[in-house]
Amino acid sequence: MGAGFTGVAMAGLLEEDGFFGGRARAATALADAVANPLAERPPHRRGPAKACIFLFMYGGPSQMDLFDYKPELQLRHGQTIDVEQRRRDVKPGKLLGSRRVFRQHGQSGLWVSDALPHLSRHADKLAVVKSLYADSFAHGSAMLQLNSGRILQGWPSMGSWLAYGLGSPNRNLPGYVVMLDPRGGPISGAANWSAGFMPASYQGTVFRASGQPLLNLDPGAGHTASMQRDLIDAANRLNAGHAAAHPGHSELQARMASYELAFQLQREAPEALDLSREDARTLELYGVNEGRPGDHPLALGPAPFGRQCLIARRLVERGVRFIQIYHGGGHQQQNWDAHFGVEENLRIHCPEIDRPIAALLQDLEQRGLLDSTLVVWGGEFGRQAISQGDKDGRDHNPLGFTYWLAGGGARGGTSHGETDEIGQAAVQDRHHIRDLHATILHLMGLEPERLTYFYGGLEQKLTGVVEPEVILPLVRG
Amino acid sequence: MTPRARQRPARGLPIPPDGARRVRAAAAAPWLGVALACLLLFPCALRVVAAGPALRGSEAHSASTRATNLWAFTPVQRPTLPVVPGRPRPLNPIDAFIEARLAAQGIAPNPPASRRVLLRRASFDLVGLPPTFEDVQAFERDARPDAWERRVESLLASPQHGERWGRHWLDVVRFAQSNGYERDGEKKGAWRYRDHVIGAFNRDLPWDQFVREHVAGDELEPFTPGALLATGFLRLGVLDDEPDDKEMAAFDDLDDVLSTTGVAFMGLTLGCARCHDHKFDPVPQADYYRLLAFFRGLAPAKDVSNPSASTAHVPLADPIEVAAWHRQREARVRDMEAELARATDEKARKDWRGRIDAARKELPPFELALGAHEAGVKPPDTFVLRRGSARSPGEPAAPGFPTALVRGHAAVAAPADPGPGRGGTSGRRRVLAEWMASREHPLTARVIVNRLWHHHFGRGLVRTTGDFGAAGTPPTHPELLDWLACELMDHGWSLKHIHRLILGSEAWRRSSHADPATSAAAKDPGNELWWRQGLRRLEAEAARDMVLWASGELNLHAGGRGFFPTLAGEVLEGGSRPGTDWEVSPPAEQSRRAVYAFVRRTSPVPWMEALDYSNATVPLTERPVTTVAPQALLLLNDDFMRSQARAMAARVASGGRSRDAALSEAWRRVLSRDPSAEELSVALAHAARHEDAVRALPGRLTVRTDVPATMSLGYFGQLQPRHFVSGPSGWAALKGHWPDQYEGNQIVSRGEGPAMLATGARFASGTAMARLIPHAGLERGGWLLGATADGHRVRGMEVLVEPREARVSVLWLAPEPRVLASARREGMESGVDLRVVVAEGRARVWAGRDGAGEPLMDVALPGPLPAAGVVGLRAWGAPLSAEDIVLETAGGPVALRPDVAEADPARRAMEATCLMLLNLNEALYVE
Repeated sequence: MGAGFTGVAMAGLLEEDGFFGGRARAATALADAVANPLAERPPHRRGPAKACIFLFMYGGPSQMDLFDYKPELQLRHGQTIDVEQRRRDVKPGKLLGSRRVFRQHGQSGLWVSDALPHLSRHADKLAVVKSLYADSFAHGSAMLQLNSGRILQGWPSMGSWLAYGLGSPNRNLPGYVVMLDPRGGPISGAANWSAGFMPASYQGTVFRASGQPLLNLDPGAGHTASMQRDLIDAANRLNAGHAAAHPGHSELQARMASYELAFQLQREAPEALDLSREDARTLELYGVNEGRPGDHPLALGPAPFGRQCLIARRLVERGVRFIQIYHGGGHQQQNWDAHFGVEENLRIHCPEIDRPIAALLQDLEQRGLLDSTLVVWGGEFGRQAISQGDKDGRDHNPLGFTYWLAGGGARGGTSHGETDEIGQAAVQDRHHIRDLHATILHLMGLEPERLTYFYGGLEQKLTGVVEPEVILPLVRG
Repeated sequence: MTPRARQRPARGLPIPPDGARRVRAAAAAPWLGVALACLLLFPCALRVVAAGPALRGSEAHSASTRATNLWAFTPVQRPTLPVVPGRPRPLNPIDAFIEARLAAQGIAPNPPASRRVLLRRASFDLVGLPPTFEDVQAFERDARPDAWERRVESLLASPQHGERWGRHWLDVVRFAQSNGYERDGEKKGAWRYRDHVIGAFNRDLPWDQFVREHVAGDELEPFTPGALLATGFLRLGVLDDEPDDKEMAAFDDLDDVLSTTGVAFMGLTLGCARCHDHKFDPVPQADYYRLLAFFRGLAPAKDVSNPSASTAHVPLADPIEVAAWHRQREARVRDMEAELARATDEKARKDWRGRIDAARKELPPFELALGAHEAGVKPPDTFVLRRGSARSPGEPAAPGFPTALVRGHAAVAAPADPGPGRGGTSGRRRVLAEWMASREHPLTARVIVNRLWHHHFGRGLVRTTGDFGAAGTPPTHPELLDWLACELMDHGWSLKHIHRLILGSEAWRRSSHADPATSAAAKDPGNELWWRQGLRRLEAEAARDMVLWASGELNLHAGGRGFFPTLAGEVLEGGSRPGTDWEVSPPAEQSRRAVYAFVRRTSPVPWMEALDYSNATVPLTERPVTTVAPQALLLLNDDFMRSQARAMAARVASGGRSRDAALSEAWRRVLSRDPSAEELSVALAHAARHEDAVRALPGRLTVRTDVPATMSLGYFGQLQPRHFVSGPSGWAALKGHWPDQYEGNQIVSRGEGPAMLATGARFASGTAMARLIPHAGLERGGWLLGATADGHRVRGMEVLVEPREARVSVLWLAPEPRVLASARREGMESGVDLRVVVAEGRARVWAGRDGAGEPLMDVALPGPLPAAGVVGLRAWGAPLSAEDIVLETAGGPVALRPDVAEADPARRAMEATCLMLLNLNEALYVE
């Protein structure tokens, strides 16, 4: 393949002094025809979701303080029980009842605690699964598993699988975008959005919510866009001569086209961050202009995450396939890792996400995007029912935890699965996180067992070796 | 519910339909749950797992019937050379094999490439660097019959040869200098392994010995330090220092060693047989554990970042010498203990106790290296692990070779107790090593000659260079592969012999032209029969080295721990402790070859990633080649490229060369040739336009912050002020205010980031004018007036522009920054002219330079600006440029301009044109 490609004609098109859009279109067509790993590909079937926004609550949010109402735990507060605290390490611990007040919300009557007052107004949009479990008690490997299906490093993350499986409709922006908390990145950093053994083009691109969104976007001191245009033109004029002397090598034309696309990217990427065209009501809704609260030195208030959620919506509008926003960064109370006090942790983080997520769901709905945009919320694991330390913290717990899906074909107002009476371990309708992965792929129109990539002698899959089960109760019929 | 959501088996797999259900039911049983959870780790298909119990312990693997059919498992035999009709003898045997097939298909191969192309190709292939223009000219003029052989010999003898081929090998053995996972601590001394490999390729260490040393260098006679260093191979894998399940983690590490050994040396995906019999290849699960038993004695790696406590580090000395040292120390301790027993007074006893303690803590006087270490001569027992789970041991497994590979000429069983190795080890790995490195092994020689072919043509005879099994692709020319394997073994396993053969062939020397109009392209568009060479893009390392070579900055210093490429603030901020274990290397160090760049598993270097190197976790046997826009952005805008273009421009224009001559010199450096008249005119026109564009920009000054808002304490401590912020030369850099620490990070005070002050440009009162130009994405741009440095904080006044908020403010920077006034100003993205008048204790700010109309802001200042205060700039989020800064003070008007060198339009035009040349396809592709 490639030998018969009309590369020279396309090169000629690039040389034409046609209007800008024409040149850009030609570049796109050319790059797609040759060697573009992100060319758009049809799904296995029509999935309701075209894009996915994954709100990753790094550190592991506490299920029994947010969505998994456990009156029994509150009643038994202070009792000592034996609990598996790390892998096969069973020790006595004192039950810690939630201090949050739970109420049922919406027509569905979903339980949500008073820590999330804004989000609870959208209860009827949420498909909550309370019975997930995973395999690691440690952040590093648990994060890897949530992102790539394996607790080992070196496998592609879910966004890479989606970019590989579906490609990207927007050539001027990355197909898989990652946004990080202003307090820092998560543990293991880039390993979480790695493409593993797939080509690097499928890995997540860190997109900064402020400043310059992408690396190397600025032509540098003393260089203007027109100088860059001029440089690219000169290079491609010389490249065209070289390509003409080397017919049959379409990759040479593809590389010329990549410079045209790079030039576009320099314009379009910053534009995605430009919130000045959003109306005041929208900015208010997301809390973008809220100041930093004065009650805790680590608390940021809703503005940074609100800005990221709003940018996520703008990226979805521009055709970005998978957007993962890490809420919480760095260590300990800078994220949801509530060892040093779960109440303090909730006080820091819930106000940071509550308004922004409610705004995102409302905004997507109003714009008619919610049906085609899957929103996923959750962390790398949940937390223990027992108290840790002298500040009523909670330790890691992968035995039972909560995720919710909204939009993109998720069945709103659903609660599926149960943990035991103290919220510690999934007991009813248990689902390993591979089932969550399978459900997300399913909603995106991909069949988990058919989305394979050949590596190391095998057809590899995101969901691994055990056949996954799409969690159908979460899926709109 | 969608029926298709219920997954069905992949095509062609004979899976019992109830298999999946059995596993699902099992998942509900808690005791099985753990074992099943472990299964998730392994990249294998479920249904065989489900069928596992029935096959457990079974040697009669259905796939083994395929063994005899699998070409790669048959013994290597020297094939007879085909006769090519119409070709005169002697023909290079490679060409005999290639041309026989081409002739049979009626395909006319390409003619040879030009001498210039040949020398560039050979030079990139053998040393990873381009030839000089003079070398090319000399070769073009060289009429001696052995002109070509001379060039090949000289390239093979170059010390850069090992750097090129060593890097290829480092991909295969997933080389990195850190452990991966959360902490990603350094594997101290891993660089010694890298340097050993480079040296081995340079010395042409016989491949059989190379193999032996990698697997069992510590057990071989006689001892050599190199052999011990080679066993660092066994310690290069990712290592979870906080495993959730320690038992499983120990087997994960062993699996990593065995799987990598399989892929790297034998082209076997052995890892597939960890939980069940291999699905495609005749490798039953029992074979996997028999092979694992060879490595079972390896002490689990611990504390790899602290060599003196590490179980993965060994003294770099003959084990016998090391043992002798230990014996001597023990004898000394025993003697002292006897003295202690004899001593009567308390002071003497205390003294002896102290000396004994000190002797016990004494470290051996040897350097430490990553290497194989076994705890004793008797390794723990090995069992076949049911479904790969450490908690489900099945039948015992004694060391042994894979059944299908030894058929007919050796016993499956290896001696379980072969007698201890030289260093008091079990001696088992030596047995494995001898078998792998033997002529009887059907894969070892085939796999390495195929790798050589792969790097010389862009593709192997077997395309899947790490998988010679049934799931891989068969060789295009099986006889040629075997012939090369025999040549290797018959010539002392010399890789350089194979390089000579390949580069001496006409096949290698053909042009890469793929003109669709030719009949060859029509008949064999995929070049399966090798009628032409490949057109190959340089790998990340070769591309970076080429740029340094062309700029004249390349530093050929070899060896050592390596350098740390500068990581932009945007890259650093992705980590939870940005900059952890990263260091700041001086520019000359950063100009070394890319093979010496420090490889930290969770600190990907954008240059490497953009050009398709991303994975130091599992063996990378073939680099993917993608063509995407971020590569162009990197090659156009990255600081490294900009600074190399600057250096190159200075070199090509030196000695008063005319622009024409300078551009010709640039062409020679980048492309080893002179430009055509037409090419030169394109470049000259570009340079002229660029020069005009620079002239049209009135003295622009730009400031950019280069660090994230949070950095690990260790990294923060290494940074000099100039690492925090870059800007006009001659201005002073300030780190800014970093008052907070949390969990090992230093955190900036937002709004008081790094800054640059124009020392000498005093402004305490009067009128200041400037045009401020925010670059896309600027969050906060500060124009500092009356500014002084208080440590690294700025005091004085700041005119702050926030284009996203459409806001201009006046701030007073003492004792803490506070906003005196703000005003709304739309459309600042394209630049804003400001006029500031400081007089009589007030500051007034106008939009526009002429001060017409009402000021935007008019505020009383809390105090006077100091007489020593100067002008400065700071930027957060993206760079801020300022044009036409004019200060009207009592001393008369002063205009701030960049210094001459920065502003020189002719020089900048040459820099831009050099950058353009470095971006050309011809520079980045090997024909």
